[in-house]
Amino acid sequence: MDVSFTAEQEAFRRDLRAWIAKTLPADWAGPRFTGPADEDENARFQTWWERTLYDAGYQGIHWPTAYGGQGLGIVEQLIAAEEFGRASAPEGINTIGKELVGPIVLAVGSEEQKRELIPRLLRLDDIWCQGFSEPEAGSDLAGLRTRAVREGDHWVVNGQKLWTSFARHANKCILLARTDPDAPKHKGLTLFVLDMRTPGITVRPVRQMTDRREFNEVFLDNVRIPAGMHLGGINEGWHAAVGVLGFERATARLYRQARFQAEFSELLRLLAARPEKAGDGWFRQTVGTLAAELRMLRLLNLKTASRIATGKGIGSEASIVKLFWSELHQRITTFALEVLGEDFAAGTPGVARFRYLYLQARAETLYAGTSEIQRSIIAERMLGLPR
Amino acid sequence: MDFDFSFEQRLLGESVGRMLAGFPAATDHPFPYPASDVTRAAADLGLFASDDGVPILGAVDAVAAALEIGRALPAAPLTEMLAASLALAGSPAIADVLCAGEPVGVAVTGAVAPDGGRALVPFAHEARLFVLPVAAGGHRTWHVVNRSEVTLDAADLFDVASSAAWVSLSAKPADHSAASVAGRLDDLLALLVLAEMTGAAAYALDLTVGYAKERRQFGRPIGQNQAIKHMAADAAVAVETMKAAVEYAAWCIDTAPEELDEPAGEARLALLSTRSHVGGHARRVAEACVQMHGGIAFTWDYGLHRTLKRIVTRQTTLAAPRASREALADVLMAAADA
Repeated sequence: MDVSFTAEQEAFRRDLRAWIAKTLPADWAGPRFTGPADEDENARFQTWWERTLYDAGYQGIHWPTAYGGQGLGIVEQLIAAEEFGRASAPEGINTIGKELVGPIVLAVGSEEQKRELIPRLLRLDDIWCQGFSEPEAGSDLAGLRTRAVREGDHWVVNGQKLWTSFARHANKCILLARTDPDAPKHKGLTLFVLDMRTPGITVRPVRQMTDRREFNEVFLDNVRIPAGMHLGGINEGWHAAVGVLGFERATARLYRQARFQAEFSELLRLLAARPEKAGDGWFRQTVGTLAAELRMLRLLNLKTASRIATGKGIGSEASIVKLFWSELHQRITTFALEVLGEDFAAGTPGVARFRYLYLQARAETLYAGTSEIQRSIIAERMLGLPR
Repeated sequence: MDFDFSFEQRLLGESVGRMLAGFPAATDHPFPYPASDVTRAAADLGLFASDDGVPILGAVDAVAAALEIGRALPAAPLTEMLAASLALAGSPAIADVLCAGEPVGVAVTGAVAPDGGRALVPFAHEARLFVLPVAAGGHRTWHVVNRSEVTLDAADLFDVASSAAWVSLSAKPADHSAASVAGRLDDLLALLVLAEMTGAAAYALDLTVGYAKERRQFGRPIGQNQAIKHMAADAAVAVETMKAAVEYAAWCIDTAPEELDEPAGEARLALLSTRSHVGGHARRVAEACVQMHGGIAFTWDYGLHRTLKRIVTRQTTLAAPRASREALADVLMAAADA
């Protein structure tokens, strides 16, 4: 057993920490914790952040150098995630590209697609959105109805997608559509690369309970995709989309732990400023419980990185991590209600961050597989309980 | 970065598990074998061995063994002796006795004093030597005490897989200072008991999953029901985090034990959070396992109550989750105030 980092890895961490400190705006993590409230201004800021990351050599850390990555290991990826999380750094505008599209392309894309798409994604020449979910295909993703019909040298797509983050800013979409309506549910799906400037695409923002508009509805009306613009095989989209997701579910969100830790530290400062609560037994017990659970989440992340680094791979462990972090974040943000009390309701400076996080955490047990879906995966695939 | 047991550590765990599988489950007094049968067999595996005052096993090795002890729950003070052998290998007064696998009585709660006080000691009636915390002048130090110097008062222990007695000093030990033993017994005892609780919880979940696949109601296995699946999944999450916690705390103690002395040292914080987490969740897992089984778990003969009772006994003595959360809050609130 060795849970240590090498001297080189520690140096990588130190350099990155210093770089973040001098690069992020000075008042970051204060009132600006999520970037400018205006959606377009925010998009420009997030784009600036990711291009700056790329120029400094901090994009695609564990991706091959042949495609523009840094060629470092998963442990360096973990370290970077921890440092970005620690500074509550912007999540960026191309998280779909980095967390979903990149890994899928690297896993099932052709050599040509890798050489074309990965560097563009890292340089932010492409901003991606994800066209998977539909109004009638949420947890039951395989029930999706968007159809792609082959006509000559094109596919013609009709349907509707929902919860499409960044669709207003994206120029590319990774689209899951039904190409064989007669095949069983999980078969007959194909993954496409869709240019968002193609005629027939309508994007309508959805106002969320946070009052932000990150999600969108996307309507596809006779949208033509050139033949050949598919990732993985025709009718093999389910494997391409979902097979890769398990790995990503565990590794893409490594920064969450450090982010939550930073939020928790801020919450402790707010608690310390309220002596009647800071000395109260219930509050102190909860502080201890949550502090321990944050450590447990970090250990799960270290285990994940270690499994990948030693070639053991990730299976349903990914569902354990997703379930644990999303529910822990709800416990932390609910604790914020108790710490802030009436200030949370009536509004004082400093509460905005926790109001936003409390609401945002409601989505986290829903997206990327609800907690119930994760529990079923753990029970069936890890414990082997009967379907 | 290799956050997993080594090949040797897995092998050690397996051989401890195999050795313990040779003993029948103990649930009724008198137990079917004396504690010394188990402690000697454990000594034969080198569990308590030291070399020139240095223990052969590290904390991570001991955790690999304690997880198996938790699965089997033999009627012998193995976890306590394992902790003592790691902490006190440098004490001639006790190292040889441990090495030979003679049952040693290690206190799990309370403290003795020349003018009163008592400590709870598992398998005290079978022990020749005792390791007891002696309270004097506001200090609490561990001492090696002979059988002739103590009085035993049988305890009505909740844990049916163990027996214990309240031990008090019958006379002032001849020379206190000579019998005092240095070492990190408190911390190692806590660590290994938490590993034992984790092993016990993991065993309860394995047993439950196996049962839920076989047991049929309404014409299908009960494990097909989402209510059972989701309860089992939550238990699995708890077990995974508990395992990671005890492994990591042990690694910290092996790597930088001096950080146990710093209030905010990594080893200290790792151990405190492990106490908070395992101390709370082991019992919840065992209780959920009783619920998932249904009525069979309420019977004496099925035996799941042994695991539940051991975990509850550990939680209320050594694990001390509530005190550990308070200690964590202390450190963190002091930092937040600064």
